[in-house]
Amino acid sequence: MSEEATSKSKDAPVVGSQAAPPEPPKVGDEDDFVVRYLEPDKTRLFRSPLGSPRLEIVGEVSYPRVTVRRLRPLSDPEHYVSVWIGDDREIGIIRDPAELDTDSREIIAEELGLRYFVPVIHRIVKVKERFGVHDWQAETSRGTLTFSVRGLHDNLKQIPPSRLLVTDVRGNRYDIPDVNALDAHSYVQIQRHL
Amino acid sequence: MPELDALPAAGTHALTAAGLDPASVVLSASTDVNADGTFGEGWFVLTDGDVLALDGQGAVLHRIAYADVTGVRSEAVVGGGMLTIQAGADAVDLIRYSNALAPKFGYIAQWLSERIEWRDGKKDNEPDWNYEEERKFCKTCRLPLPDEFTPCPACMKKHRVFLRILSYLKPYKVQAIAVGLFMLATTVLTLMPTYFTRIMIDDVLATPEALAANPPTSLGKIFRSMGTGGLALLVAVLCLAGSHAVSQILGVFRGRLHAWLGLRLSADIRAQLYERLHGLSLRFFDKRQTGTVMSHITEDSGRLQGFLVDGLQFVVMDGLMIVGIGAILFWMNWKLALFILIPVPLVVLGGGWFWTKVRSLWHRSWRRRSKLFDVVNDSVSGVRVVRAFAQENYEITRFNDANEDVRSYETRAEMLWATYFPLLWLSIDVGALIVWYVGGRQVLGTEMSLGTLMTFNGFLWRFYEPLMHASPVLNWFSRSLTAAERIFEVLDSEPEQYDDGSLVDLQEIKGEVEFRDLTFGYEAHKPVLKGIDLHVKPGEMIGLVGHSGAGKSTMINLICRFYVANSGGLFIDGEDINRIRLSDLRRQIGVVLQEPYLFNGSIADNIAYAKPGATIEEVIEAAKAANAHEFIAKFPDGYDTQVGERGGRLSGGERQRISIARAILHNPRILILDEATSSVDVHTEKKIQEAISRLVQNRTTFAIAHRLSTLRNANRLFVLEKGKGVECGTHEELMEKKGIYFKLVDTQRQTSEIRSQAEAVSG
Repeated sequence: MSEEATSKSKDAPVVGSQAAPPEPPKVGDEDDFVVRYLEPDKTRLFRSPLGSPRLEIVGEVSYPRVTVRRLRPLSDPEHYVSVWIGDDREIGIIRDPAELDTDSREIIAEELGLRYFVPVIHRIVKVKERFGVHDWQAETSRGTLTFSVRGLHDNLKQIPPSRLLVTDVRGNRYDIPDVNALDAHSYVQIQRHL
Repeated sequence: MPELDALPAAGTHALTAAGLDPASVVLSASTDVNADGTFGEGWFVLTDGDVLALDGQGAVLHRIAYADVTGVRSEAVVGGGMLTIQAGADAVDLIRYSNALAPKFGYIAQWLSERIEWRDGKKDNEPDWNYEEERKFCKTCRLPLPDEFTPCPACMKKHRVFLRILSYLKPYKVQAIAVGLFMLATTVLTLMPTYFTRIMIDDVLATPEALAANPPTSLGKIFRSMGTGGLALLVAVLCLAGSHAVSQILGVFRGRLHAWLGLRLSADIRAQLYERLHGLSLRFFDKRQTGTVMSHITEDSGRLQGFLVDGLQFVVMDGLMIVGIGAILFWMNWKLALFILIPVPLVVLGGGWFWTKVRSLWHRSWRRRSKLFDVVNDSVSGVRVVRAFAQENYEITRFNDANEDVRSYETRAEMLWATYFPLLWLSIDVGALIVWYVGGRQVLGTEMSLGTLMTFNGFLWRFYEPLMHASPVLNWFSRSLTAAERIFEVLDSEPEQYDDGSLVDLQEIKGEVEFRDLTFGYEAHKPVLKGIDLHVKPGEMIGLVGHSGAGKSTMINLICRFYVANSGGLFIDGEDINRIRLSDLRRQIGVVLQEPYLFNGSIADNIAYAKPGATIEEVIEAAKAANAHEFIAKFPDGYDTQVGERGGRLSGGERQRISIARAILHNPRILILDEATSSVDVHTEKKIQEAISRLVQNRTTFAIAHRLSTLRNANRLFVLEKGKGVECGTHEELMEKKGIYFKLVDTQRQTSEIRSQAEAVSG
């Protein structure tokens, strides 16, 4: 409880200077239980002089330093982006960032790119087993890599319909969005161990 | 007339002697313990006007006028019990019985008490008599059953079960017939090469003298006509090669088709079993442990599958082999064939004995092996305790003992194997020796050709081998049939009534719930709820309060119609709950349990479980209302986070809020909160309370909570004690009354004070 109070005072929203808020704020208690979707024409992201992302709800408030996260990073990464004050409180949800202006869209894409460090595997060169550890050699969205995966049972998570999440021995995650879309060679490498 | 056990002649005489009409007997039940506590027969008799106890000779031990009886109790003592009759201020221990009969007399006491209430006008209806004896013994042969639901292995009609398994073949007639033909063909073809030995020796490789001595068989003539050059040999070898090849190829088809058919069959049975399980009433699951149900699906059907895929081939092929070879041997030389039968009893009986022995030894060593595992598990899990008390040596000794035990039994099994298997082969060798001697004499006497003798010898092994294996294969067969029978037992159980004709349409439940003089027990003679009366208005929140075991959860089970009341009724919107279409009812009831169950899948899937096809925005909205959205958004995978058995580890409070979100999305008219906040800390509880307070709006809610403070939102509290509704009212009303609720609150306050003091000290 006390944490919330202090954090709120620290990152108190800066009230927009231009016009009066379009509608009176709802009862505070009620507010916590209702989802707020940010309207595309009133939502604008820009960068502070030092580069931290800020959110302005036009005609209402402007928040310094926001973070963005995907609500459905696996099944629908391009929609439902949740915008937060730091790590504390959700401001609202952007249904589809594509509806925003170009600058805002780019900032969201950049921020999401920084937040989600999950290389996507495009091609699997080789998976070789020795002593229960599988050495993977793969081409990913972030370069060609080799990594080791222990105990495929726990570290290869199959998510229906055909996604595969791989966690290596050092805790890094790799994503294969659609196993069936891999080329034949990669597919064979992987099927042997599934 | 609920006559349990008919009175014997002596008892009837005794009644007549006492001036009672034997026709006036309402109930008679036998006991197995005398008045002095020794085993012996006796009788409990209820007539129109009296309650009596008779001894085994028919002498009247007690006689009390029924009108004087004010109460009946069954009292448990160690190893048995007694039926006590209360007659005003006095009481008598009417009859004694052992534990075996306790359920029966327990039911009698319950039934009689209700009957007395009815006699006194406290109840409107005479109690129904629906006593069902627990199925501990087989009804036909009195063999104790392994559990209540397994059919008697001795009385099971094996052929009927087998026919029923075969009835699953109906959709696959063509394949089944093909498999049968393939089996027949492969059997014949495997016998061919051996049979060819005869032609080889008598007709192809024979010296001219031998040819002259032996009249050719019809097949032999063909080969002899090719002359004594290499041609006949070449053709013979080619024939052999052909039969080998065809036999193997047919074998491939047979094996593939059989595997397909066996797997198809067991998958069909499994699918039917699983579908039926979901249609069964919860009573079925109650009486069995989850493990038993799981084993029905996995083990029994696995066992059946193993047999259908592999075992059946053995049985059929071995059967064909024995019959086929037997026929050939008798056809070739019936006299010699008779001699072959001499070691058969030895092989069959010896084999049977050997397999039984080995199986039991294996089983025993397996038991010891698991005990060894227990020892290891025990001392490794408790290694801190072991070290703390310096009991390493004790643990080592314990392990060594168990280890030695395993060794000794496994050695015995291996030694038995090493000893008797060769002996078994020796008995078969006797057969071969007989063939050599008797057949040899016939060859010397030119009664029989050398080829026939060699063929005989060749067939001999193939004849004895299936006989030797008969015992384990038949055992396998019979165990699979038992498994099949257990599966069929489930398939035959009554499914839950989803629709029984005269049902009321309740698309939109308003939420009025009324218990009317409701009595219910999971077992009819042990009521958990007694005469509950409660009328709940739509939208009202009722807190159910009481000690554990008071019947709170049972009330909820009845509202969900997991069970049906024994007497009295439960009405929703004025309709008898049993007449509401079950799908309508369940669709409009939402449950939040103490330990919410999350299925394997994503969080979004789990929230949307109650409403398949819900959009993600609906899911997010529900999660937000349940105070769950923010923690979900903080997970790396957000709503795609995998939960359930193999997924991420959520805390109790998180699971709870997900299940509340599920209930919110479900949007039920009647909401049930069963200890929804008991497994979380105070801080989380507050968050959940907030969520719940939003959830209960405009819904009829029943809430059970251990912490009474969490029921403060309730409109009314219903206090249960020992299955009876004792108090009902608002918190203030009940506190003023200073009754049971007051005491409960008081106790909890004291406990929480102690706790806060303790926290103050430790903090």
